[in-house]
Amino acid sequence: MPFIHRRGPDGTQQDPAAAAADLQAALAALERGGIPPKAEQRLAELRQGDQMLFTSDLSVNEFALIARTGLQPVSQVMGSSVYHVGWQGMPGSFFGMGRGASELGVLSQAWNSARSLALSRLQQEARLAGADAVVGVHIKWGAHDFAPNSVEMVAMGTAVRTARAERTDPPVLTDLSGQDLWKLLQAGYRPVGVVGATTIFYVVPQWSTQRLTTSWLSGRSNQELPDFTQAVYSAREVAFGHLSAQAQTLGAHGIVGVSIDQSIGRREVDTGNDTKRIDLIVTLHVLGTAIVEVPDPESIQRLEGRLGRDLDVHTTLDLRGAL
Amino acid sequence: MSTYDPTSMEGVPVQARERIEQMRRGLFTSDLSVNEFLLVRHAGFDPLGLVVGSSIYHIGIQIAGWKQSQEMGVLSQAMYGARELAMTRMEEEADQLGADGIVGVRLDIGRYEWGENLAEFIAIGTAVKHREGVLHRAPNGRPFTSDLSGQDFWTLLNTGYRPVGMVMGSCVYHVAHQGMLQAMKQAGRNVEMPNFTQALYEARELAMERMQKEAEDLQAQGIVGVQLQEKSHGWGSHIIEFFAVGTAVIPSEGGHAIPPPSPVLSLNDR
Repeated sequence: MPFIHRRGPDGTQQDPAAAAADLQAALAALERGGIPPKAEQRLAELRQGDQMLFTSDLSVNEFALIARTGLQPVSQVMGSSVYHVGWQGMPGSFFGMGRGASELGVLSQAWNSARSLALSRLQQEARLAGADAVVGVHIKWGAHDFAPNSVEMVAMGTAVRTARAERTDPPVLTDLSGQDLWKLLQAGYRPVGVVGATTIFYVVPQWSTQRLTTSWLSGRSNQELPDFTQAVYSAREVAFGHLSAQAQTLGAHGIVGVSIDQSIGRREVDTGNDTKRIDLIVTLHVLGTAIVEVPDPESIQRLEGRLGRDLDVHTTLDLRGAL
Repeated sequence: MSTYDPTSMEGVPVQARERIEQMRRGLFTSDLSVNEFLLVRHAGFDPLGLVVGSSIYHIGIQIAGWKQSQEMGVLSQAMYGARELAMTRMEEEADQLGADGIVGVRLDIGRYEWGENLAEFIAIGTAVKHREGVLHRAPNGRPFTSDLSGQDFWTLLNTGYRPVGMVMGSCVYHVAHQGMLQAMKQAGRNVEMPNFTQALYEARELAMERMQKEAEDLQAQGIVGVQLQEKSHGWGSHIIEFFAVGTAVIPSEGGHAIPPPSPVLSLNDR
């Protein structure tokens, strides 16, 4: 094996007792909502390395701009949570009772808990890395085949620090890219944290809608399906309600860079006597960054050295295509 | 092949030798786009030719304990060793051309129907050489490698950094099956699954740690553009490879910062 400069798994067997102890320690840490000791170890190594090595998932352009804001990348950080989704009763399953839109509370809550656990672990990693902030936080979610009835949320980002001696505690998270963060700081704002929410709505159609969506006579008329519209609206309102509430707790003036991921699924329900009903499941994931206006541009200028409130915008018509 | 030998042509087919011979006479081939080509030139580099390294690797078999979350050492070793072979062959080709480094490296894995436990590992990139002969090699004497595009390469050099090498870490991990008792306890409830969380966490940490170690060995100052990929290469749902790859960078001599950027409102449609 040509492991001259690359190190692979060394193939040595770990002592089983020590491995079991490690596993128990890791599980105990996760139960507390913490991060496994192995991760702490990696970050500690990173801090103690004689030459300050950083890892980052910053693109080169982001890296170039981050350096200009006076921020220094420290380490790529991550937080993850696999969450078991509890039993959720579907509305309308009992003789079509409960028509209209309602939130599937158990599902929403599972996603939201998984997200906050993942983000809190990301934040803990950043704190251990000695960072002031995490930029470019993005969340991947999905389900694994090996774990039925469960969801996984993985939050990743790059921890950065300022030149100051004292650290911001806890580190500030933002889903903005290095480019966006630079522009925002230039304009006199700063991020205070990441806000996110998931809502899942279930719609059992009213009789009129059910007739329109399933009967063979339905093809004739142009008509809005008010209860479906209503459900999409409600899901959005609830999700943004959560966002606003979270932003207010952070003392933010506004939210920028919101990404919305909306998907609508159909569920056919057999209602007996060869009839069926089409129900709708509306899923909405939102994530954004809460920001505050920096009250005194002087102070931030002292802080970072290079920031101003004036933002010169040049307009160009780019004839070259994306370089 | 156990060590890196810049003059080695071992395993390089006759056609490839001819191709390299041709490129030495001055014609270059590359998979750079026009923009990339111009920027690489502007950065002071000349493309020399497309370089390839490939390795078809037989991946061994390892049985994991049903209820045990563990790294699959044999598989990790295979994924790692094969990529290493492909990368080394590509570097040797570049060395044959007298290159300083390779930009735009892509690492692909191909699987074929004719071999169930076989996988082809391919590394492909464009070898470049500095026009004024300023040495840009990695500290270990190999040509530098990077998966950065030509644009990113230009920006990085102008930021006062240069790539030293692609660094990677791989970990193939078996996620334990959940016991009956555990499943019963969780039935119908919203709870975190610490076993699975721990397994996935550890696997990602191992991959990232190995990548970090590689960067340290290269005496790099940092890693940019890390991608973390998760794939199950036909091993079933419980066995997953976590692969972290990025470009290690070090500050260049007489480092300089980019000029203050000015925000631009593009009038182009998206």
